[in-house]
Amino acid sequence: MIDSVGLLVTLLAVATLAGLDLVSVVQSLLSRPVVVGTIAGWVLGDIGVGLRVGVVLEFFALDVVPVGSSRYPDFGAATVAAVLYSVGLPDGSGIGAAAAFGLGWALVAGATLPVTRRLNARVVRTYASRLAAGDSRAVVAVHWTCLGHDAVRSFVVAAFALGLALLLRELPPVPSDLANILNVIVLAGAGWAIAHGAVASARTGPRWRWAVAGLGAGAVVVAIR
Amino acid sequence: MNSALRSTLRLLVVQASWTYERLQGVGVAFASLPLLEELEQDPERHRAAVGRATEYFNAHPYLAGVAVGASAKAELTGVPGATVQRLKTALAGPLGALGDQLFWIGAVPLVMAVIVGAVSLGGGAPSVAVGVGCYFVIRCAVTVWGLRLGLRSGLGVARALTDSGLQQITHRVGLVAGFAVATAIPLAARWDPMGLGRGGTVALLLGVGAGAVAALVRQRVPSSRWVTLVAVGGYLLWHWSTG
Repeated sequence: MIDSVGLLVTLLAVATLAGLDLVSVVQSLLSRPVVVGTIAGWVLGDIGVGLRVGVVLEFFALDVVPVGSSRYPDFGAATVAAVLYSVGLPDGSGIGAAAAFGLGWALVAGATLPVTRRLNARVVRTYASRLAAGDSRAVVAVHWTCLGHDAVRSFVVAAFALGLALLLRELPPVPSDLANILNVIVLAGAGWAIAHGAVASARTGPRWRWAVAGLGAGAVVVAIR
Repeated sequence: MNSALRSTLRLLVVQASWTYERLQGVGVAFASLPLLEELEQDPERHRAAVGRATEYFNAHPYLAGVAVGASAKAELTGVPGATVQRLKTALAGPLGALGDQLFWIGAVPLVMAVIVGAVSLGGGAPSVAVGVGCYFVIRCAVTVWGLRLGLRSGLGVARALTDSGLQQITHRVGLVAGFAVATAIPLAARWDPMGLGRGGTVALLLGVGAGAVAALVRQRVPSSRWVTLVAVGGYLLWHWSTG
């Protein structure tokens, strides 16, 4: 199923678009793990795995505030690759390993963002005098060139991520005892991430009380169900 | 296509040319070009306005349209260049802080937590689609609203922004986001995405406790991502070294 070129091309397109969505294009939610994971799962015919990998990585993403020049991970292609790795593995056994792989790749992909920005800066410096002179054509040329940089970055990051996932799929499956330990470690890490994100932004003021109320409300729903 | 619509579409890619020197400067100029076309009859004024638009600027990308609209209106009405530049400088900080609070720390966590909660309760892919669709509509509506506000208000945009009630909305969204993210934790623990049963719930809750403590101590603690990867790597090394 995963040997289909059409399928891989679709995944590559989804992962590239998710990479573009992170900073350059629209900045909606396509780059969020639970969203792009669901899409990847749907493409691969297993939405359930896409959702589970996506939710686990989403917990880590909720601990990130993508502000301006700060460095942050790029979860788009990483999530697609993690889903590609885990689809078809015995139920639940590959989620932790896939999420760990996705997490690692998200950090690698995030490290490519400053490279793109430095390339952008080089283009801006080349056109500096024309920009200062108010040359509209220079503005358009600089902007599209920089958008091209991010498109290439997203494509390369996505291609490597998917290639790595395909290579990992060639390895023997992770033994169930090891898989369970990895699941526990990653799940604990996900809990750390979501709590850290929630508490860090709600440490003071009324938001803190609302967060405690939310925790209680969630517990009540769980108890009722 | 009218100039405001073209500017709105360009605002959706305002960060594409982000650099450490000018931040969103070139992107703002790119979005401003359609609005400044009216000045083309006076090439000197037009070039001066475009040149000013390319200078250093940064705000939240969804709200950059407020500055784009206000500065374009000021340029079209013949406000001196230095005043236009001061207007943009004055808007950058508040638009950045407001947008970060409203979206990156408010609406995005809120929507993602609602999606995670809905998925945990069995909502599946449709809950993801609904959440993403709703957010996309809001994201585009905010950009349209911001540009219109700026174009309508010109130099009076700061007052218009204060009167818009955005700050109050931001505060409320923050509260609801805190509630939603916290609600998603027990729901996801119950859903058990790894299929670990009670062990999974315990692991998640232990992680939650550790993360909460790490945030509360306010000291520099490694991020959850690094802690997790180091733990996974360490365990794999130990596993393989012990055969």
